[in-house]
Amino acid sequence: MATRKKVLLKVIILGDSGVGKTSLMNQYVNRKFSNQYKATIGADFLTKEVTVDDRLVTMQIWDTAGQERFQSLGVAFYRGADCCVLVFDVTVPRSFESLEAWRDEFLIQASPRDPEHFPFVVLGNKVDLKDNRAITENRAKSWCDEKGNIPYFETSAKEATKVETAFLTIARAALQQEKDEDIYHDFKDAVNLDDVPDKKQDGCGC
Amino acid sequence: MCSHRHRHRLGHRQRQKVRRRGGSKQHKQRHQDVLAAVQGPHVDVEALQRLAFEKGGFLTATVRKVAWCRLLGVNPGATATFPDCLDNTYSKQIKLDVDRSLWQYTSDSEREAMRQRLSKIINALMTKYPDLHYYQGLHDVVAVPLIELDNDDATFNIMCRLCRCHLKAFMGSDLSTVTPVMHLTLVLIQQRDIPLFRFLSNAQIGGEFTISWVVTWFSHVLNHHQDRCRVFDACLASHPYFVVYLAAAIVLSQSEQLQALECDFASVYQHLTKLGPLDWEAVLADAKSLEDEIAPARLLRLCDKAEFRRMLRTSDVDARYRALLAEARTRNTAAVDTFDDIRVSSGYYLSLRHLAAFTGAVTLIVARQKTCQQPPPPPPPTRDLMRFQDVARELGEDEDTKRERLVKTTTSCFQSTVKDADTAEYCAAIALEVLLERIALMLDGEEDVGDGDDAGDDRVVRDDGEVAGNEDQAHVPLEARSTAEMITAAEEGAYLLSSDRAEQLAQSVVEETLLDAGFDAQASFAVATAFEASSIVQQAARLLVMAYAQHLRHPVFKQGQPCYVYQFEHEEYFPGHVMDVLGDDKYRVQLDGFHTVVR
Repeated sequence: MATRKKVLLKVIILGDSGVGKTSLMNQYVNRKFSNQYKATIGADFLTKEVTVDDRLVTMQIWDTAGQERFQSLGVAFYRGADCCVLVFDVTVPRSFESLEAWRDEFLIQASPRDPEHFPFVVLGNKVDLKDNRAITENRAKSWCDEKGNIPYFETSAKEATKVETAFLTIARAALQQEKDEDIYHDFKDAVNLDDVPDKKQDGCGC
Repeated sequence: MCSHRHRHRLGHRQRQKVRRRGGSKQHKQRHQDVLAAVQGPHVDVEALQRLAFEKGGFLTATVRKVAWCRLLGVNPGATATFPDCLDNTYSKQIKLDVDRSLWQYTSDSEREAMRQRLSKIINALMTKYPDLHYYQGLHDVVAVPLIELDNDDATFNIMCRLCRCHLKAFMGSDLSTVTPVMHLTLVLIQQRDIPLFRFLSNAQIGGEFTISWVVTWFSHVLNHHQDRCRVFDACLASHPYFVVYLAAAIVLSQSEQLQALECDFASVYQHLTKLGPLDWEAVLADAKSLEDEIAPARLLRLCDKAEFRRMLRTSDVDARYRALLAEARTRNTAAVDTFDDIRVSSGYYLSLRHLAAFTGAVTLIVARQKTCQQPPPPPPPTRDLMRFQDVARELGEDEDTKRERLVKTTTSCFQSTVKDADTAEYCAAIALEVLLERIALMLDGEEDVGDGDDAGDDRVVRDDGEVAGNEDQAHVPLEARSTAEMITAAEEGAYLLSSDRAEQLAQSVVEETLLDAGFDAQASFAVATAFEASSIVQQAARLLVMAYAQHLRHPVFKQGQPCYVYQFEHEEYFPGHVMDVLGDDKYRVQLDGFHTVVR
């Protein structure tokens, strides 16, 4: 019954400062790359209409500040997210090591209904900087496999490498998540469950 | 006829000249006004503050250098002492942000040179103040004086002040001191435009959308350097919270457009963060009148309880700003470091809050008891008294110094509403006498808890006015209580005292409490101190005197001492002086020229 309504997919992009979150979003939405980006403070979003498997959906892509101190703002922005994109810079090992913390923090703050199966996508950005590469594709892939087969893409926002493909996967994952939510809602309406599963059972990062 | 025409022509020419040179004449006048304000023996900070809100603000870089520096107590010509080593924990982050800034410089080499200067100043700040934390956006702030003044020393000196005062709340280890400041915008909107406030609430909009406005003084979102400078003129000349009023003024100016939007988070957020060009002069003027109407101190009182608690964490903003203004006025030519020495002891604040906690709790207990018709009123919550005492001890000073400081502080509290300094000091002394007396009694274990109610000495009052017993904590030794617990109690009381409701309650019970309860000492003391907190200090002073006399039950007045006498027939207090001490709690009082004897 909810299959033909207008679909809005909310996507959150997270990752360390300077890994290229804003650039990726702009490359995907506006097909443009500029060197002249500035640091993001708080959060910002762009929308894009896109057809995924014959369905027209609107992607609302949220770009967030990378400095750790801004993480606590997340609650306001992560609400109702359908997919979370984790970005690191293949030339900065620290940004790869932070992925785990970003993922955990997202799950805590967004507290999705089913954290085990919430869709993430990992992007290793700046692959155009071949000479400075510090994280190999294998290393990134094995981390993604470990975390429940998270799809992994090697992108370059500058050269538009794999950006379109990556976001198509992101859109699919988000759409699937959105459908699951609908099923959940339909089910809930029909049976009127009083017992809402504990959202935070997997969310404790203490 | 001829001469008339001639004069007319001349006049016309003059007007043309004025029009043509209008800009520079205005600049010249502003320059002169600013110079006049800073050249006297004392800097006329108020004049500078006024000029900042004239059309165009300080207008030029030359005027800005003098005005910005002087407003912050910085000598415009002073050189800066940069730390030798600029490495700090934030160097990497600073590099990331600086390398993505200053795009307005089209020449690569010029931009690179400016970036290096910007980077040096920010790193110097973070090295100089290791207790402060760098945030993304500080680089936007520093760029404004750097570009405008084109002087590294003045920029660094200005930034040193701002980091210790206006921006300090944004430089904590996390956002916990920023969030409540952002929230103040919504509190202001709620005061001015309830439909808009409801609309924003329904869209689940919190204060988050203001973060880049607030922490960068709009420099992150404004595209033109001159606009940034104009906003800085106003912010530098105002209380650290001015930026919040500015944010509110902007949102309020968009009320219609916002409410025409679909009521969902993304649409509203988008509109708020992607504002088109604004009439900054108008918005600044609106913000100023909003601040005049709802002063920062009052704004805090309008916060809900949770927010108020969070606000207390940034409560030294006021003290810092006052200190900064004091130093700005003195035309200090010394090194800028003096202001950095200001130490606002948290214990000191805490002790004041405990006074508030104590009185707030007692007031509501009394009010509650009155409405329930359950005489006699219970004694004040001992726990709060003990906590107060504990905090006083934390100050780590000998008795005399501590006392002196407390008297001084309490006097200044009274002074804010009592214009007469002597009266203020007198009120303060009495208030402290009573308090210290009670502390002493308690420490000696002689405190009579009155009605013997188990929970009587340990009641806490919740915000709904309910009195809740808290027996399990009643006999926990002082040492076992955590600082966090103490702070919670203090915040609770401070909130109670700050809320209009507590004030109303206190007012509504004062007459009955005093008259019906036969001037019960504790009740009158409670109500009196509550009045002090609710700014009705004259009244408080009178009641305190009465309460004190009742409480100690021995002569409290010395010959020649001023006092107040309650006249039943007039139902009013009259000021007078003690003529003679007659013993047995009787005094001969000179009252408006009459001689009368009162108990």
